[in-house]
Amino acid sequence: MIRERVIATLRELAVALGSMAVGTEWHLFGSIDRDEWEAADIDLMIFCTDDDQADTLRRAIDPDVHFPPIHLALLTFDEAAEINAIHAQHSSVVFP
Amino acid sequence: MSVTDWVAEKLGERRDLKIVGRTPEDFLIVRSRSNYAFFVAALSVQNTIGLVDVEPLFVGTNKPQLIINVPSDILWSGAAIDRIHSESASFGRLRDVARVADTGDASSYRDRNMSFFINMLSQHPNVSGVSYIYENVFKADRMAGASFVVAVIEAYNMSAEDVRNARNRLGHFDVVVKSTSYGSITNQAEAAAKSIGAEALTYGQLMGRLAH
Repeated sequence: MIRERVIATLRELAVALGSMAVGTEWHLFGSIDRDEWEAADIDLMIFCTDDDQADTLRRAIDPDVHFPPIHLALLTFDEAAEINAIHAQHSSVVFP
Repeated sequence: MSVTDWVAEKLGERRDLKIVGRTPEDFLIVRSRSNYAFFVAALSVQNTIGLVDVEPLFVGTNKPQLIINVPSDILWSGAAIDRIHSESASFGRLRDVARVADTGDASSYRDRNMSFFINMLSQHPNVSGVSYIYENVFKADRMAGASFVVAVIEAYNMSAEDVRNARNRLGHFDVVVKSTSYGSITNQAEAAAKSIGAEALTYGQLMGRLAH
């Protein structure tokens, strides 16, 4: 239940960010991705095309807008590949 | 809407917590499922939270056991933290209300990751003292060698953006370290740290670095 609600919220956020989010890939992981109702925060990784996009999204996303708040990790696609982030976090793509 | 009203509304969305009232000081009385009740004070400081922000919370009859700030990414100064702890209270973010409820002891609540680092630094044989600069930045005075400023970031994996964001938010540090010993530090994160005259280290690497 909470997972579906959070995914809908994150997709709305990604769309609202417009050009800032073009080319990004959003991954949900952790307790909300496991649909655990009492999660303390929304664990979100966003893969970015470059450093500037990562810095822009850090400034643009307010982690407190929703509750639970967003715990945000921003990394480039190259970094994600280097550390095999998807496999390590057992994440699910929620956007695009 | 006051910040206390906002926090009450957000906490009201949870199944595991209940707001059962307010004190005359406008502290929320929060009760957990196990019937543990505690006082929560909500601040809305927009810059660094200082001593002047927390002092007024302790002048009334009721004292807060947990103090949170909205927005959550505002830094708590070392002076404010020391004052809160001296009153047997704790501090944190909105998310910490549920965590505190689970512990059943708001007064002694400490962020688990930061407690781990404070204990680890304090027990290092070459460290004579540890003090808060911010809630996640510590100054470690060493018996041999200069003092060390350590920034702890809450990340499973440390990216270059984590390092840049830490520098923007926290200012100077000598070392940036992940809050968990699991996960990885990317090559780009190490390069980003080096570019600002710092080092991105794992917990194990930090222990070795403190000795030299």
